[in-house]
Amino acid sequence: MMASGVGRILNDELVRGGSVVALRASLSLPLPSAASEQAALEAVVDEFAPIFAGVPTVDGERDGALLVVSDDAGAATAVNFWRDALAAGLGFASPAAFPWCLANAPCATIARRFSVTGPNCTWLTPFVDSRGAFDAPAAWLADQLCANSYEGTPREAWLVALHFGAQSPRVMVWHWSGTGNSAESVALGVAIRNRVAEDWSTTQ
Amino acid sequence: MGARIVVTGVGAITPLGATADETWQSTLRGESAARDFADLAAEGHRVVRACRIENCDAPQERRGRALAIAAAHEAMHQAGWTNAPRRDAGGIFIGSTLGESAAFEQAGAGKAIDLRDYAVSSFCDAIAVEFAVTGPREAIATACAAGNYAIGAAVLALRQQRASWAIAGGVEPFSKLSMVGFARSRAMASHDCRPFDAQRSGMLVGEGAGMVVLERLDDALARGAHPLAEVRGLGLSSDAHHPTAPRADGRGMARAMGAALAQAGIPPAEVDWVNVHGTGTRASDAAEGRALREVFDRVPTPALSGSKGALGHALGAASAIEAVLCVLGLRDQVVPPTHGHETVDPEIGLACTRERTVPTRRPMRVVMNNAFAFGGINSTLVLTRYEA
Amino acid sequence: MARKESPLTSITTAPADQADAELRAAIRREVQAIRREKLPLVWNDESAYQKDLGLDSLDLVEMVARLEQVTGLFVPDEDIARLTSITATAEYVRARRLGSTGPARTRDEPNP
Repeated sequence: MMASGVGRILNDELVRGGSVVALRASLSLPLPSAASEQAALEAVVDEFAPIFAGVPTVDGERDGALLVVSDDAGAATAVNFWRDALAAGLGFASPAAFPWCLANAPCATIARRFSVTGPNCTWLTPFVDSRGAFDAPAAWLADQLCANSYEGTPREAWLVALHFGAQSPRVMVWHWSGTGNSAESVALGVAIRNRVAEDWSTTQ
Repeated sequence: MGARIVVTGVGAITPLGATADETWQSTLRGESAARDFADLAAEGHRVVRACRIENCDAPQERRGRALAIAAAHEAMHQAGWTNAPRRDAGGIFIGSTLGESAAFEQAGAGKAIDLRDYAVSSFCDAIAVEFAVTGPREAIATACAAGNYAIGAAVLALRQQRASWAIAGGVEPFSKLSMVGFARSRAMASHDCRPFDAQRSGMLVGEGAGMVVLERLDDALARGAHPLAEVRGLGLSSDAHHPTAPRADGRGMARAMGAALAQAGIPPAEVDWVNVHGTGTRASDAAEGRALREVFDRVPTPALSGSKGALGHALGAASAIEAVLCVLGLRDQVVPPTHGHETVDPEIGLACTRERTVPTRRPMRVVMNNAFAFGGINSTLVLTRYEA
Repeated sequence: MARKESPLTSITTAPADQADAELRAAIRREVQAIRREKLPLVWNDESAYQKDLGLDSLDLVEMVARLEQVTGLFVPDEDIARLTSITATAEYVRARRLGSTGPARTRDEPNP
């Protein structure tokens, strides 16, 4: 099932804070209406490929961080899982949807799909449309990029914002990379937060 | 590396105790909260054995909030604060799997309910209101690893000066949804949870809350607080392998452990104790065993213990409760027994403690707290005794 | 406890072949539903769920759950290893219906 509407790659941008960190690529997509959160995300996940393609796999792995923020991942699945369990009888419930009752299922799914084996985190925020929703993921992202890089190789990190709800379900993925200086990580976190929050609010 | 971060207060409410010390003493005595529950049988659950807190009277859909506040109060009190200091500089970092599971169950049963008020962030909000704290908040949904993550998030915020003190931990009220999910996924024990045991058959579900108060060392010492332990590192990795089964070779788990030790600047030989994730499932314990053997390949294996035989698997609260037990173990210089572990599994080749174990070679300084979530999300927290 | 009733929950009066065919058809439908487009072009009731049809551990527990729903039988954890194909599953259900569950499997017994 293909997503309707257009996703677009936003322009590269260099974010300087005394460190070399850049937004390499990003993509925004509407989520299709689907029978479940799992079906909706799995319908579009292959379209994220260009966002991960910039980092070749090494021994089949991409050693980067994958961070997800959402205001409702898992909620609808949990409600439906329980409704179906009551209907079938608790002793006869189907387990298939259970992993997707957990908000971290999308992050684990994307990690599997693109072999991302670094730190993997999911935040739930009350409203993903608010700037504050991106504070924590951006701070972590900056910290990941500024973590000691022993050979000076760039660190890679991907941030995903997800909204499954009835109004405008959509997903956005950003790829950041660079070699940051930990003294800059706070300033970098703020700059990253401002950029992703603006992208999310201006992109339909 | 950044400022040194210390634990100045701990709190916990679990099926074995209304306070951290009650749970700790109960665990040291080798007790287990696991039993069968008639209410679950009456509702048609396939598995009716679990570990539950029996004296919590909060409304079901606010059970998590009650547990969170109880544990937070204990931690804050131990830190020496009856009222929160510098309220705008306090951060709240909470991990959970399902938030108020009962609210989602009620919604599934047809009740009109705004679930945003019952998600993981509702625990952060509750603590913020309770202590009138207005600093940064994070609601972390990394399931069985969420407690470790929350502590790591607090450490980051303190080092980045986004907060000057923090409450961090995990909360998971008893979840019938999880009982059904794990039972129907055939992940549950046929009777008891037996971490790393040759006869292990699966997990049991638990519940509870674990909280720690964290500060930069300089701030703690300046106000005359007594550091209980130091947080030295959080290692994270992802298996990127399967929705529920871990990599059988334990590679992702080993990476998380290695990353934690590297961040801490501590070699494997100096680790005195590993609190294993040890859910009691055949696959996860086997993978963790392989990971441990890889990490400690060239050195004597540290003492291994696990608490899920005593407390069940408290999901989002598990690693936070277990971090609290690690802090108390460092304080009392004792590793607790691993309830349910009786026979070494020859495929794992590792023994867990069967009784309380006192270090003999040297004082116990370094403990690793493993927590590995569904979907291959791996975390290891390194805690050390505080030394000036 | 609400459970959907189906003809398969009480088949003792139907001819054995017809009942067996209905059961196999029902299990086949569940396999197809779980694996959708991922089944091989050629497969049959003897195809092994894991080796031939590519069901993973999650698919298998879902398969067993659906089997329980359509038959009304409760499959204990220790019997799951016996359900290796549609044929083996149908045989298991028939044996349970006749009341001969057989001795509990031990580790020494060969796999079917």
